[in-house]
Amino acid sequence: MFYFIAKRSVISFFIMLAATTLMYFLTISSGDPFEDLGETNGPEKAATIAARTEAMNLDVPPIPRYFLWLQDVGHCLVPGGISCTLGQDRTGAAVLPQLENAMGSTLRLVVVATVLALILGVVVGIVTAIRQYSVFDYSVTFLSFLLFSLPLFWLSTLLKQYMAIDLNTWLANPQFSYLTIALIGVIAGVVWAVVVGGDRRRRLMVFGVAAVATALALYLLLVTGWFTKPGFGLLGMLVSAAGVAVLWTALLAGFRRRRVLHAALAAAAVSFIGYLVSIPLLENPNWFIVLALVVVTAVVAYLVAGVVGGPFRAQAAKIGAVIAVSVGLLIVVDRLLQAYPTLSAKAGGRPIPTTGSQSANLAGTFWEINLDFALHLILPTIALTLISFATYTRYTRASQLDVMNQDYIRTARAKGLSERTVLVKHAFRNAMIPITTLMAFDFAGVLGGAVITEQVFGWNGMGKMFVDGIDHVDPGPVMAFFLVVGTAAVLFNMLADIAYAFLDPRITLS
Amino acid sequence: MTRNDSPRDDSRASVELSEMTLQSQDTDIATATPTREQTDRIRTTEAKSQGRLIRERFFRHKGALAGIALLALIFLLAFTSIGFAGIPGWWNKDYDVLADRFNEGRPTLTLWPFSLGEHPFGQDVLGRDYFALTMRGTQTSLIIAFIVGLVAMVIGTTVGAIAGYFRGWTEAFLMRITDVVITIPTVVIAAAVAGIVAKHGIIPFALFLGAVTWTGLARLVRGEFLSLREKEFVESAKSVGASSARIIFRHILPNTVGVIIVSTTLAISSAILLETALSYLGLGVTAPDTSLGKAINDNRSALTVRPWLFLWPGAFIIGIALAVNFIGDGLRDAFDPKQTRVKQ
Amino acid sequence: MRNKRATTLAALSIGALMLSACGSAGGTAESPASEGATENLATTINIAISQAPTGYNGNTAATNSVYNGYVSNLTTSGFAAFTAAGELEANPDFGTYEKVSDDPLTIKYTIDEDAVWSDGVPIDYDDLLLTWAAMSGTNPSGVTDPETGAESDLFKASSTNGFAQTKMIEGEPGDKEFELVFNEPYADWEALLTGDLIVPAHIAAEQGGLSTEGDGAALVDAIQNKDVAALTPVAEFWNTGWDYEADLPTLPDLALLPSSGPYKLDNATNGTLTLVKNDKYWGEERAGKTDTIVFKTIVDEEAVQALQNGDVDVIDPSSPSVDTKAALEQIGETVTVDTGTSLTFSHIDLDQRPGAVFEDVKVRQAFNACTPRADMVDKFVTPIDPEGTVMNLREYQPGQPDYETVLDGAEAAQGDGSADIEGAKKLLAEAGKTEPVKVSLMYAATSQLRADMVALVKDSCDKAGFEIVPQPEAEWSAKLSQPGAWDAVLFGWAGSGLVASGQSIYVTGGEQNFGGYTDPEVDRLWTEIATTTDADKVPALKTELEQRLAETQYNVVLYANADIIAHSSKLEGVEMNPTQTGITWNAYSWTKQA
Repeated sequence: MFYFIAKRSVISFFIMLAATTLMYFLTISSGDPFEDLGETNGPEKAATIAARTEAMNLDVPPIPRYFLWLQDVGHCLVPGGISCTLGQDRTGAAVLPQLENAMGSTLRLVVVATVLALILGVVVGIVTAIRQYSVFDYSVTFLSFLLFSLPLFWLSTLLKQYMAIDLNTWLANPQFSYLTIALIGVIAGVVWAVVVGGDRRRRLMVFGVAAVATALALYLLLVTGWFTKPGFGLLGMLVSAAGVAVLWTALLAGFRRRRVLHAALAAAAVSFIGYLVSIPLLENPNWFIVLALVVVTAVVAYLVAGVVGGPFRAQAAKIGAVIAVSVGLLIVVDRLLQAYPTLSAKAGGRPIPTTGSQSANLAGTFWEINLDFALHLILPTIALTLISFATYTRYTRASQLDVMNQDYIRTARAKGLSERTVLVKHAFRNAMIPITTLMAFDFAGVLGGAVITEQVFGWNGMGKMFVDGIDHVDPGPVMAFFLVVGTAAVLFNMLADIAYAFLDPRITLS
Repeated sequence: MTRNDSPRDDSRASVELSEMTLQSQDTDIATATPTREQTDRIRTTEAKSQGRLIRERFFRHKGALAGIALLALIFLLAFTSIGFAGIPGWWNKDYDVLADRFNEGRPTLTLWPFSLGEHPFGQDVLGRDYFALTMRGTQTSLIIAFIVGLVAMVIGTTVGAIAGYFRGWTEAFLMRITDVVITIPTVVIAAAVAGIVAKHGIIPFALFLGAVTWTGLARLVRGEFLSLREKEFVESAKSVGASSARIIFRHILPNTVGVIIVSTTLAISSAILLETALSYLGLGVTAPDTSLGKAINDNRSALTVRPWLFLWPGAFIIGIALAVNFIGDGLRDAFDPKQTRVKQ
Repeated sequence: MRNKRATTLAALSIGALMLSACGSAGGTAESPASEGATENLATTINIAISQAPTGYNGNTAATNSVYNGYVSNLTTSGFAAFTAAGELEANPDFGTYEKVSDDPLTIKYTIDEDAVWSDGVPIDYDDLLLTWAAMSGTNPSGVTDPETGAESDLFKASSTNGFAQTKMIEGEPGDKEFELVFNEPYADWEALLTGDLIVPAHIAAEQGGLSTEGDGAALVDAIQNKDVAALTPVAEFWNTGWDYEADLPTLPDLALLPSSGPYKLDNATNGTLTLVKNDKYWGEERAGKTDTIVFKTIVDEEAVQALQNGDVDVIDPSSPSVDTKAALEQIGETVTVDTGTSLTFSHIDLDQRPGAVFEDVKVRQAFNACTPRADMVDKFVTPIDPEGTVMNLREYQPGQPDYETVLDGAEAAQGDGSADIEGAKKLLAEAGKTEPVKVSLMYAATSQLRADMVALVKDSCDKAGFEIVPQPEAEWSAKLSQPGAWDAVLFGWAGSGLVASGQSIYVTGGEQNFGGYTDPEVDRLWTEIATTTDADKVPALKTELEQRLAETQYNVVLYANADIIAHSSKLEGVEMNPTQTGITWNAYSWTKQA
């Protein structure tokens, strides 16, 4: 294990080194760093050329220039040495502070997009695998290929028009005609009927129930002004907590063991009490308080569920903790939603922005500030997510199908295990093994995709550093961007291999 | 763009662990539970060649068939309408001839009753026929995409085959090179390369793009070679004294055709989108050449005003990418001998 | 069964239709947005700029950009500024000036008694002296360039035009009055101490290790006595110490960035810069009306949607297309659009060196005749600015007040700009050209607009006996100064509103005279223009110049680009300013309804 990591680290280091060489020489040969000065004249031109030559070491031949850059990077690896700058850009400014600043917003975007795409993709992928060759399967296949075929900036432009400008206008005065409500209900009904499937009768039932429920819910939300003052409310939270408990129990334990269900409901009750108790604490907290509250609730729920669970103590306790964390998440979402009316007002009544990564000069509570981050994330995240989503669903589906054809699944079924146990315990886990590698790749890929997304949505992130750098034939920022992306690629590959070994006992790391 | 780096065509990250390929895991309407049609066929005792089986499986994939039809249609339309390489086409307008604008350059295409009119896709600001321009862009984009696919296929297959067959230092060397290139996200390396070659015209541009997008294929081919070279038929070929070249070309390569073709199709659809992304960054095809990516990028501000300038080339990009993706899906199913339908 | 279901469905859909007739659910009776709005952001105006500002001191070679100027319009004061009409207007808030002598040209400046930096330090002699020292190129560093042999200056100024022709400003620390004496007459003297030229000397001195006691006596001493050792650290700070980090993640220490204008810098995050009212601003004319002004970095292509969504209140896209205007107008009444003529104009320069295609003036005239200038205006200008016209002069743009007067006097320059194929044929025949004249026409490869313009030229001139070969170049601007790299080149110049700034474009051997044009008469006229200190005499001289340039067909001028600005209709006071001062020239007076 240790040997494997050491060996991989050394190899990765040299691969990274070679990749920087390639990238560096590609960058400096991609144009003329003085291109923008052709029309200018006077001492200004000479002074700029001189300053730029000095900042970019243009008086040094390319190969030693590369080593100068490498030396700058070296300073960052050796602790306590000369100050670490990662070189200079063409104006002579150190690159490292720019990178540090740019990394924050880019990573926020990339991580959120990856996680969302992963969750959505895996869930949809598994459902399509279970319901292989159904209308649902075909629809998802078509949809994911379609998403996969969309030019990213094309999609982004459309998103801005419909998901920001038009949605904002609607949110200012949220109303639907009854026809629209009915139509949305019908569409929801069709989607549910397709997802759930079954024979004609069952589909019709699902359609009817889903259509009516959706339309009714939408109607209620509209007439109660939910869209101007969103939130779960006390009752909503209670119902949600119970729902979460039932959902997790269904997924992780099934309903055969009544005690587990009771334990789960007890955990939900604990979480709900936690919610009530924490109301005053969560007016304007910080991340530490939020995290601490979640941990405390989880521990209490773990203990209570364990006690209630009786003979199935271990399982019940775990489920209890999971429920507590889930409800914790719901509370956070609820709080963010509650911050919406004031934030929306501060944003001039148009809460969803088309540009930037945060509002300037926003003075507000913890929740307002984080909701502001979230609202700025919406559009770029959707754009990035939709495209990765396609990859994840296709691979999860393939992987899940492959696993379900294995003998051990057949054996598990033959043993008489419930479908739930087969799917969750045996199939899902093994199907996830190849997905870890996919994730490693996708993360680096999404970082690359951020190049386009940031440009479209006016984020000052690493992608912008790269694009500007290429534009100016300025290797400093380009290489800084690449250092992060390349390291992420190499690192995630290694992590994926290690994860592989943990998940798949047949593989040994040596 | 993300999709270019996604391991769609290379699910393995590490050399050490690369044996299980996802390629072989997708499934199709298939053989484990024979349909009636298949049962009928099983009764006839005619022997089927591998190629025929693949063809049959492919032609059963409706999506792939639709993809083929769509792609063929786009190809035909693009190359016959305005002609190509000096051969005139049936469309009477040229993409670079200026004219007066009719009705503010709106499209004259009507579907019912169907009529093309003077300018089916409208006209641009100088009155150039936008249909001819879109066709020209489609030609360029197709040429770029197919050259990129071809170059990636040749380099990737060569590198993968040599590495997988000879192993040892050759393999280590070639695969490290592959690792180096794969570390750089496609859009990033392509942007840098585009800065160098885009100004020299579309052919060098496409060749160089191909030269940086072969890595995924190389890994897959190598993986296939690693497992195939241990098979009995290779052993027996070796034992009768067949040369390495003969073993590679006659015995192993034909068995990896599936992987190669599937990856190449996907490389082609990625290339279409890559070209679009580069155009967006201002690093793609430059005037007087045109491409679909350039066309939509030049007309970004027209989305709400003269949407046809933005939507027609966009529709062709999506059409091509979608068609190629479906073909790839069908090919993957067709070439995969392990495909089975899951029994529920 | 089937029937029953169909009936149910039918009933359901009829029900739905009936419901739909009854109206809609939801909606807000009262506007929830108004109450909370006032407390935080409603007093803010957001302005889109396409690049983040790069530095506080916009006078260095590296930071001299339009977008730094957009900010410093509000955070600095000068003796005069360019108005929307493109004319200089005195700024009485900051002080007064008058010409007291013509020989030698002497200008007397008086800084307002109350003028102070936003940290309370008075604006006085040391600030002006530092400006003079930095911008005059009179402080050799002692370091010579091994290639050119030229000695570099301590201060890396963007330009030394003007101040290089002046004597050192005499005075004592703390003076609010001083005289600027020119060694030789300088036509653009009035534009000299404008804009953001004056930077806080006390900050530079402090950062350069000098005492700031006694109204900057130490710095004044160092400059007056040419103390290179003492000045070097000051100059270093002046050159780079005020630079922002790339893309403006944060501002440097605010104590280093005092303001002399109606607003002062407050903070920056991720390319978004916030200005707040300068509480120490003494003036009344330019006092800020809105509390906060925020600059957001948004690339031009995304600006329209940002404006429509209310993310910004004002946009000023730098190269608007026909669609930009239509898209803006389509938004409706929430957005107000204004169009006009910018000072940037497009033209085709011609290689007329001995042996080059355009050596013969007849060929140049033929090319001018066949170029469809009016057509270009119809296609690219009037759809944006309905009042746009063909540009016939080189030193004046149609938007400027003197354009018509000068054009009336310069007969050779007049014309409606429509392509004259027959005339061009005749001229070519006169020049003795029997074969088609091959012209390699270079332009920026990345610009579709330029490609379209070249297509128009080719379409027309090929009929007249030219053979235009489009030559798109990614590195076109580097190739400008390479003789033989092109026969003709299509690009733009930005007019400055100054009298003498165009000199190097037209005189023999001028640095921006890329086509190798030479005419003794033009050279003579320019020398005269550049040393004329009486603004009233300039139009007459320039009329002569324009006439000569047109007769000798220096180049082919096409049109002044159309300019467009758009702002939220809630905003009042926004006025287009075609000069490099830009849209924020009067932003202090803007107000926005909540």
